[in-house]
Amino acid sequence: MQRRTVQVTNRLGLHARAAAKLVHVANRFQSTIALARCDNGQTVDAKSILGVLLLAASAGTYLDVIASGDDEEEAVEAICRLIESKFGEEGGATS
Amino acid sequence: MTANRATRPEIVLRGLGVSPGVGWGPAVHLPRRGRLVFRRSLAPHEVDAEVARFQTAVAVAREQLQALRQRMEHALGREHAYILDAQRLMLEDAGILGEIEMLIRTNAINAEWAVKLVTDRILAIYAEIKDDYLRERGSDIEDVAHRLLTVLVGERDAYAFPEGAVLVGETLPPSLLGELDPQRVAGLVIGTGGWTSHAAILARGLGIPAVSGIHGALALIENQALLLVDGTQGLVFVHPAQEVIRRYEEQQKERERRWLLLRERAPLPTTTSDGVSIIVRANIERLSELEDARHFGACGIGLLRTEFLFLQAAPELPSEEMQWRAYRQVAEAAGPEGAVIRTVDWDENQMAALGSHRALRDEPLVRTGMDDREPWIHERNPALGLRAIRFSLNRPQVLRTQLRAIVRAAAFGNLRIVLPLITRVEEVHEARHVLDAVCRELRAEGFEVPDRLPLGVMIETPAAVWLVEELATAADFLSLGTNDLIQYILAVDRDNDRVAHLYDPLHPAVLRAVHHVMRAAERAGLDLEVCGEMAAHPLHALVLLGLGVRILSMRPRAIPLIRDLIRQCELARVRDLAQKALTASRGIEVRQLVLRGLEEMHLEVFDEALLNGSAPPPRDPQ
Repeated sequence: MQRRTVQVTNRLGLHARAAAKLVHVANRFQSTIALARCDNGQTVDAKSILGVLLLAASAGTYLDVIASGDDEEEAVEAICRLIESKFGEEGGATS
Repeated sequence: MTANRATRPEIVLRGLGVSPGVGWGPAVHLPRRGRLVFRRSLAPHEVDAEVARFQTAVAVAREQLQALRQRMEHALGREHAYILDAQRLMLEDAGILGEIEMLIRTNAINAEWAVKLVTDRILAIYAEIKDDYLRERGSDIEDVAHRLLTVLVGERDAYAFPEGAVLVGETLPPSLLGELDPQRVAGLVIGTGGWTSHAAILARGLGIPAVSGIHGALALIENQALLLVDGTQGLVFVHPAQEVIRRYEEQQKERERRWLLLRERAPLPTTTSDGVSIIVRANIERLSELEDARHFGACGIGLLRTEFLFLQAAPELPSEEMQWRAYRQVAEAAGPEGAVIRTVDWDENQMAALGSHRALRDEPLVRTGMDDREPWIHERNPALGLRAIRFSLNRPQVLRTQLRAIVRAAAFGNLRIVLPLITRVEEVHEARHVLDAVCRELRAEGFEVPDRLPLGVMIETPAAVWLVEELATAADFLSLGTNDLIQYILAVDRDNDRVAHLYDPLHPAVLRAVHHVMRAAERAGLDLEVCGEMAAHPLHALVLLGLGVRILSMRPRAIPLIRDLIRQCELARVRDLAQKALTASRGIEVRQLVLRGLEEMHLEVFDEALLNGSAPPPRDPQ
């Protein structure tokens, strides 16, 4: 099992478009992947759009990305990179 | 229902009466997206087929979204198309789909109900989310649920609700408007939308009592609660007390008695007591009202609103064939007095709400400074946007189709055409140009085309009021559309219940505008017909007659009342009254003047409730 903590930094948080991107990435991997909010422990399936949306992770939220399976390392890496890159939507600018 | 009536305390809600009359029955909620869904229990052998039906619907919905996404990507770029990705992923979400299938199996219920249960649960979780933006994303789930239910129910499925229900909803979805049947609907309670909303106009046309402006109606009124709707006073009683119902029943009896009396007088001519003939015509929203028009003694059709055809055809556009058949029916039913058909009074937001804007995509478009993106852009202020004649001239193919259908139908009766929302003389010339071309075309195709098809102009903007001399030269007749004219003169949206009380047909500015238009029509020797709510209201109609109006067109149900009023009144005295009204400086003065006049002339207005109820009375400033 792989686990890594990452902070949501894009302004809109895990909104519909970002969540769609995340689910899209998660679905490329064999491993089961979960996202957990560090503040309240709420845990959802990263491959379920509704689950990810229901996390309601707004900007500033810390998440644990947890994967287990053959490609767990790549999975955690890819998802954290996506979240850290602000889902590629703010042109790298911080706001 | 009777059992809980004794135990439940009565609640009275105040709103805006948008369709007079009283009705009572059990409340039936309309969901926000306007899909009524019912629970149906399945026999064990039906369950597998139901799951299969659900899976098929999911596949169809996915395909629809995929096609929509491609079009969106093409039109707006990839970034925007992502919003649909979230919805598509919901339809691939094993968790949701699995839960719905499990519900179908374990509870042996229909797929629609299972979809509703699951999405309602998710929406409830969403409603709790603190972050405004994320909470709003619940609309994605609603959209998906709506799409699924639409596929499951079938696009054109009739709504099913128990007989005698009072429908309660934030708004009335357009798809439901065509299903309203006064035999089956006792009343309407609408959260938002006012006097001129489609729902209100239709409810008045059908004689269904309606109250709007009950904000949060769905939350305030539980499903199946007994409701009494007083559309005259704008009151909704939840769990009405026994004596309230009794009082209303007595009023109802009294009204029926008077109504019968009016009907007995129906064969009498529509002539004032000093011998002036007045023409009273019917406004028609839909073909089923043709029978009402005849029944209530209308002298022809003063206004056929053609939006219903666009509603019926949605999400396609109504074909020439479909329109022609409808107009022919109108032409044949209208009799020698004929009918005035208004080209579609519609805006692109309304088209989009029906999904019809997609059909417009393939239609040629006159460039109006818009770029090459999706031709449809959501308008923030549709009342001042690309609507009515502007829409028609911008979509020449839509206008040509409609005019071809009207011209072809004109062989079967006396038809006239009227153009809505004219603000420029050029619009009349352009429309006439299209009409002439269409006539030439049809003759060449061998159709019988009348030599002359009168083309009229709706006077419903201040611009048209001040251009009326020029418009009278360009047009064959004039039609005063009071609903919009008053809104534009007073800058009041009557559908906004926060300012609806400022909407005053007796405002001196309105009366002076009518006076100006009337004089111009007389000088030009043109007919001026007044259609709109003002003609249907006894007080307002009286002032119109005093200002010189001789043709009134109104909803069929108002005809007996107004004709009775005309027969009682002495026009010379009403004229004096109107002259005084023109010098008043406040609407309330005019109102008092007219009420006093009614008293002095010993006019009996049959339904006091109508006097007070069919328009919000202006507030008397302290």
